[in-house]
Amino acid sequence: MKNGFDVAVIGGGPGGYVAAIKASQLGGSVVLFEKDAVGGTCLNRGCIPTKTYVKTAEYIKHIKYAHSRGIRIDVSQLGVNMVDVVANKNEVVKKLTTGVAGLLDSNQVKVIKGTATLTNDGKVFCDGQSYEAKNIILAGGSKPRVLDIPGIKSQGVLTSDTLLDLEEVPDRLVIIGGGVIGCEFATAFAAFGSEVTIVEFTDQLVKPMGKDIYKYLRKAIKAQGIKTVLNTAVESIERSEAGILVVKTSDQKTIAADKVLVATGRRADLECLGDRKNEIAMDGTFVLVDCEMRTSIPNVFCIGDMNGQMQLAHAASKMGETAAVNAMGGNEEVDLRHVANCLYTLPEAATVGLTEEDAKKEHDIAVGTFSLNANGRALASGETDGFVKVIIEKKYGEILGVQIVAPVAAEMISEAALCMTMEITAHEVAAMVHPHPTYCEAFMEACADALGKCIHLPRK
Amino acid sequence: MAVEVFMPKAGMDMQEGTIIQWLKNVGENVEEGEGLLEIETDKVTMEVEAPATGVLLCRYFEDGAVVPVVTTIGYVGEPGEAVPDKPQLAGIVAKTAPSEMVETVEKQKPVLADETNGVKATPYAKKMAVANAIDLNEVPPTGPAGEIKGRDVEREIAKSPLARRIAEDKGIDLSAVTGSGHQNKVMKSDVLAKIAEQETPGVTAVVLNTTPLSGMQKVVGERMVKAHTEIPCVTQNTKVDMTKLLAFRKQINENRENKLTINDFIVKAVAKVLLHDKKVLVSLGDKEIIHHQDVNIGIAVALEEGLIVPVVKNADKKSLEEISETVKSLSAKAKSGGLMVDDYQGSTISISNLGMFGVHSFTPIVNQPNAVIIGICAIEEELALVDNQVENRKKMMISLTYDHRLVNGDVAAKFSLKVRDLLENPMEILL
Amino acid sequence: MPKKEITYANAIKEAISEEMIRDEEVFMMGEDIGIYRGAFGVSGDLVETFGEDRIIDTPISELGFVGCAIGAAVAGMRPIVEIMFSDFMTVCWDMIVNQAPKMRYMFGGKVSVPMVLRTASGGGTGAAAQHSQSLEAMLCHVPGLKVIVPSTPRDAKGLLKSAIRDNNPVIFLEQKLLYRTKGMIEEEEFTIPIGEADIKREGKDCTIITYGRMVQMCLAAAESLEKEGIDVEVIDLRTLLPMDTEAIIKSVIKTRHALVVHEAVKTGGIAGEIIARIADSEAFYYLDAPLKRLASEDVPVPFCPVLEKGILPDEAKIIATVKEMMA
Repeated sequence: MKNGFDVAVIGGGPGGYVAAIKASQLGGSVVLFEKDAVGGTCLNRGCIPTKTYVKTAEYIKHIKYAHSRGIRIDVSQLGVNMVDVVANKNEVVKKLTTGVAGLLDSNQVKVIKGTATLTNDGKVFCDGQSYEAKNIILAGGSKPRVLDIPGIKSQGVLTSDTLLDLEEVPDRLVIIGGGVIGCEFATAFAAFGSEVTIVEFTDQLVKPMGKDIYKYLRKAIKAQGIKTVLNTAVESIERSEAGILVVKTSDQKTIAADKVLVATGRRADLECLGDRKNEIAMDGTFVLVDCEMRTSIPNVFCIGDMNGQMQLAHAASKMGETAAVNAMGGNEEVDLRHVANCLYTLPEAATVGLTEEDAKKEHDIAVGTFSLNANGRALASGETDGFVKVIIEKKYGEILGVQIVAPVAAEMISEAALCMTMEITAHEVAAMVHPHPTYCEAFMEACADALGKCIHLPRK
Repeated sequence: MAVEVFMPKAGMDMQEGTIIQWLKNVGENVEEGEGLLEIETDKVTMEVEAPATGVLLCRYFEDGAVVPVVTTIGYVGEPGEAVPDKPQLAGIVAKTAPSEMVETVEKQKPVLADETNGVKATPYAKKMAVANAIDLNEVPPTGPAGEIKGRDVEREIAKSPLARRIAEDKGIDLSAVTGSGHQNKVMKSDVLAKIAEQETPGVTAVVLNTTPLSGMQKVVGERMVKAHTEIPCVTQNTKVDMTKLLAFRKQINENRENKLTINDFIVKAVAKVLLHDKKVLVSLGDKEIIHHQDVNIGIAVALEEGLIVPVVKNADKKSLEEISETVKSLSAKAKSGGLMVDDYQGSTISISNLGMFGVHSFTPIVNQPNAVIIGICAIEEELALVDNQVENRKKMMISLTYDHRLVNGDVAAKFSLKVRDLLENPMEILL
Repeated sequence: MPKKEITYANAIKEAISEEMIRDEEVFMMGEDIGIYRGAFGVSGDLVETFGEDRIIDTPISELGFVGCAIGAAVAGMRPIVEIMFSDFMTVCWDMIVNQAPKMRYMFGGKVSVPMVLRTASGGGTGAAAQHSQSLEAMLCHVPGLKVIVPSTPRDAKGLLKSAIRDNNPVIFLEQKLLYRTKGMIEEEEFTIPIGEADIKREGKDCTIITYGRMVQMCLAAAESLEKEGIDVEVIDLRTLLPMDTEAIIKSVIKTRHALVVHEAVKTGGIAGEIIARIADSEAFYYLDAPLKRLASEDVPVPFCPVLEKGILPDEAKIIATVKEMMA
């Protein structure tokens, strides 16, 4: 059948390309439409680029503190060449996107470059051609949400997409929005030499990660010279004749900036809905789906940022796999209960499950914490900023939530997520031998502490 | 001592051999090493030598039999030496049965190791294995006799540590829980579902409180059950026009201090009918029907703690006024608990009046040993045709229940009619 | 509820006394129960309270006075007969087997035999082969009888009162070594229904089904086993006929292991019956070890105390058997 497929996937991000490969593995003929480059926001404009920046920032940090470890080095000339930083980032991105393209190719997924949309006859239209598919998986992703305030379109007001291509270090960078994106860029550019101010509308940074993370993060952010303005909205941005941006806040103060980053979240990119935009059921600004990722239109699935279930690349990949299985005749449900949240700052933060406040509402809990001050690996590394906090249900020791701040928190959180998914309780974790010295020991110790039997904490 | 002759195992993969022919008869002398019989495998034909010198004592299989290797097929020994009357078996039974001996062997089949079902496991282990689709052949046994125990199968049932903890705590039998996790791993939600299933009670009404059964209510209850289960009862409803009676009563009561009740008129009317018609005044004896002379009317009185039926004795000999007074004093006594035994014994018929509660009709339960109980219902306004004119009449139902062992339908119906006629012509009650 | 301590023997006496006061048809007969106060002192001063007309001393003639009691029962009285040693039941076996339990059936329900036959059974007293037997299994083989073997003063009193009020012949076996044991009972009047087992100890790993004198022994063994991590449930049957099968089945389904312990000899003992009931029920599918029984050796009870001890079940044997089952 010409232009006929078992599955058509619109969008080649971490949700879409995974869905395409999975469907192909299950024996389907698959077509994938991508308007830009495969890999989506994650690879091209999100997770990976920012991680290269944060790693660069980490180098700077280590070099600055090298003298404290006996390394003789002159840091007076320390600085970054943004052109090279961007080039380095682009190289990483290219490697990954090439890798993804290779994977798609090896799985015989037909990749069509162009903007694809749904048409009323149930087909997919792209670049003057119509394609038929038994099932369609929408993976259109998201775009930065831009606030509707005066001056938002001024020159020098950037989104995360555009800031990543900036080949200079702004002297003064104001970041509107203290979420994950805002904090990660703040970390990077503060290290690169910018004077960074985060303006956050709520009363804390990275609110969804809970108070415990923030309490710790606040100090780290401050130590990096990043200013934080909380409980404050931005009312307008003005561009002076001298090219200086003046950010006016709700408390009638002004902040001068050379660049402004708008990091106020991301909204679903609904372009691919095309003619069926009014037909499909919505959940606010997102496409409504059930646990099997089915939309209100039969044989049309929607995954990732577009459905607003959880705006994380790894969640999108899971949704993509499930949608592909179901498109190929399965009946799987997506279980996002134990998906971890990671924040790549210095140090990193990561959470999974419930925070203490939320857990308390429904469970009889016990809490265990272990500070990296008492962790051998952290001490040896000179990176003792951080802790592991474990919230368990008292009776059976079920792990309800884990919060970690540590240099490798994002790596450590998987052990906790694994335990929660496999229903391994604090009892088993506390009894399991963890290698020494590792940061991971802190998780074991926190579990033991929650059970009231931690060896490496003073008796309470 | 007798020495066995075996079917030899003439090659690694030889399982059985066919006896081509015996070279010696039973009782014949043989030398050690002498040819005793010829056998054939699927590869070769060979001679089996005598294992000892002596006589051939017995042959368990005859020519043509297919015999498993290392099975005893005969004995060589001293003449007259005892040998087993059955051969020693070696796993698989001879396939052809030319002699009787082979038949005996076949009957022995169940003794052989059963290769498919020979797993030694406790009933509980087997039950769990079936419930969880576990192959017992794959389960390492730890029982003292080498048997697979429940714990061994339990080990094989995948279950999350959390599910295990909850199950242990709640006493949930994991063999009965189907897992929803990877490869049927039992997860927390499965155990919780099981608990919910076990805890779901049937729909029960909320109990406000309980009150102890009073002694009287107990007796009433027992008598009700007895009457209800023993008596084949029938209820007949007869409608009575009370219009005249109400007017008559009003007239009489006008100048009286002690007002007469409708009930008094009814009791009197019933008594009057019974004066001449005693067919319903019967009781069931052991072998006979007892016909009563006395018109003793029991009047049901509701009390807080139960129900009692005091008796208006010889009602047929009492005037309306006397009946009224008797009923009044009996019910006062009943309510104050002052009834003597004599006051509530000896009834020959009973009346139960629920008229004041607006009851349209009901099925009173016969007050044993009476044969009949008359249920009196509420007086209701009704439009009726009287001389082709629509009139407002006051109608009342009489619900007469009777013991069909003692009274037949026509007798009961005729009795009801007589009561009705009397009530509809109230003057005659007094005549 | 106020409680008082009382011996097993006095609990029985109290039950008799209360029932004799409650119902004047109740009377007692037996050998040496009057001025001698009973071979084991059970009847005590009852003769002084109720007189010789209601506490009747009999000649040594079990066949005669048990027959007499059956007659009185048929005539509407409620006799309690004491047979000094249960071994002597065999002397009046015809009365116990052919007469008392059969009349109700053979006379089409027109006759009932509300008689209680109390007797001292069991060994451990050095009383040798003819005075130490536990013959309950023989009695349980006779439909029409009820057979009770109480293990505590409370059970003895409550069950004896129910037995006296029962309209059928009841054999009430009192184990000699229990007479001097003490226990708490209510001050107020109470009865215990015939046919209900009592879970004397709850546990989850192994069920021991027992009755009479062995109950205390099994409870002591359970205490020791608990220290070794084995949680034993002890069911005191109390009534052997009719037997509370449901209680047994329920417990075995829970624990998956069952051991029956009795003092009577093993072969033909009641343990075989209990085990058969388990095997013949839903509980079979829950068994995780062979069913076991622990009973006296199949020999006449020896006179020599050392030998007698040797043939009887004891705490150590119970512990060893349970551990073997749980291995």
